Amino acid sequence: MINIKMRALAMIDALYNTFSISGITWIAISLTSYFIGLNCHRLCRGHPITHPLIITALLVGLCLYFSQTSVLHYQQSASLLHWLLGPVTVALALPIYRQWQRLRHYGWRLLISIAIGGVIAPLTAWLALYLLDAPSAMQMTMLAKSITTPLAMEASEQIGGIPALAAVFVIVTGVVGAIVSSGMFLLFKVTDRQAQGIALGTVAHAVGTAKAIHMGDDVSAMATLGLCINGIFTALVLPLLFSLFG
Amino acid sequence: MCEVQKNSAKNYVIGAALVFGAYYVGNLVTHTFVLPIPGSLVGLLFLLSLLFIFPIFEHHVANFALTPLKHMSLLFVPAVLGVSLYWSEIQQNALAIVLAIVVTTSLCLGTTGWISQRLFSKKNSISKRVIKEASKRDQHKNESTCDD
Repeated sequence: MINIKMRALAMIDALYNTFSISGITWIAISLTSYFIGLNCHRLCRGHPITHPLIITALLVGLCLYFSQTSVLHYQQSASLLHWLLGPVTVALALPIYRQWQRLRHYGWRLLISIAIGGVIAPLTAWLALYLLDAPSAMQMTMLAKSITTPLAMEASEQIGGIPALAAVFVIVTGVVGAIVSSGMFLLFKVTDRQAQGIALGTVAHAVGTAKAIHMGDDVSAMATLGLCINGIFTALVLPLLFSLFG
Repeated sequence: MCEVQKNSAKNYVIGAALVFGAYYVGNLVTHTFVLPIPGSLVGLLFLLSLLFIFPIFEHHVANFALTPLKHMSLLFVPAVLGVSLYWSEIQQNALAIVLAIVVTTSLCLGTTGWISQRLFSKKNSISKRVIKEASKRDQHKNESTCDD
């Protein structure tokens, strides 16, 4: 019951922060920046590097810098945005539900492909950090880099990572994945369009899926499946493994 | 006209209630049973099972959730800016991070694609037909993916 109260309080707190002068100002700045970001993304025909989040974060960051506002103050003022992330994560159930029929058509081949991608991507990334002696919080965060941002933030928090870093790692992973994908598919001789879609969705999550949408309906459907299934399983398995062996 | 609008406002409220309800149920469940899983994930699975049991709610949830899902990127902004608090750690480990993200992501993309291509090659002719039918179906459904 305490948690529910806390969550309810968090919502009231977020609303309270919103209806203050700095709350309204910063949320308005965020919305405006996002609007500019969306339009840039559209103008550049959806090139991954112009992902709306990158542009929005840069613009808001600039505003913070020039107004000498601390990030903590901004986070408090715009806490409504952050709080909404929870319910929107829950709403991911909708795209997953809509992909279910398709999943049943493909069965184990699809599941195994996604499972392989979902295991090797975080493990190799973690290994790179481990070999180069990065701090353990960063290693833990990297384990969640290939899943969709909201789940990655929650999962990394559960296993002792840093949610803010997780968000950045995830987005950069997606952008890099979407940019290098054509070259990599050529190099590895992946010509099958469905296989390309699965790889994009599983390894480069939603940014990869956005790229897959440009490649065609069949590719984007597979990418969405990869994104959903890998996201759910990684977010389930990581914290469970850590609570068992951690 | 008025009738339709009223109806969609009602659907919107029902959809919102379902999503927020599932969110609170998820958090309550993880808290009560001290589960090591994120509360939102439990809420997601709860909403998913609700949709399977009562497919009729898909309409309501879609009415509410499609717009926030599409513009999810905006909600990450506060979290992403928080990264500046870890700037020195990032700089100290810049090489490791670049290696982990750029190199391994590229290789994993190739490997995953290559493996699934081998797995699918046996079944290709059948599945191509299936996917065509499925995409036709989806066009009606105003398909959505989350933005991030």
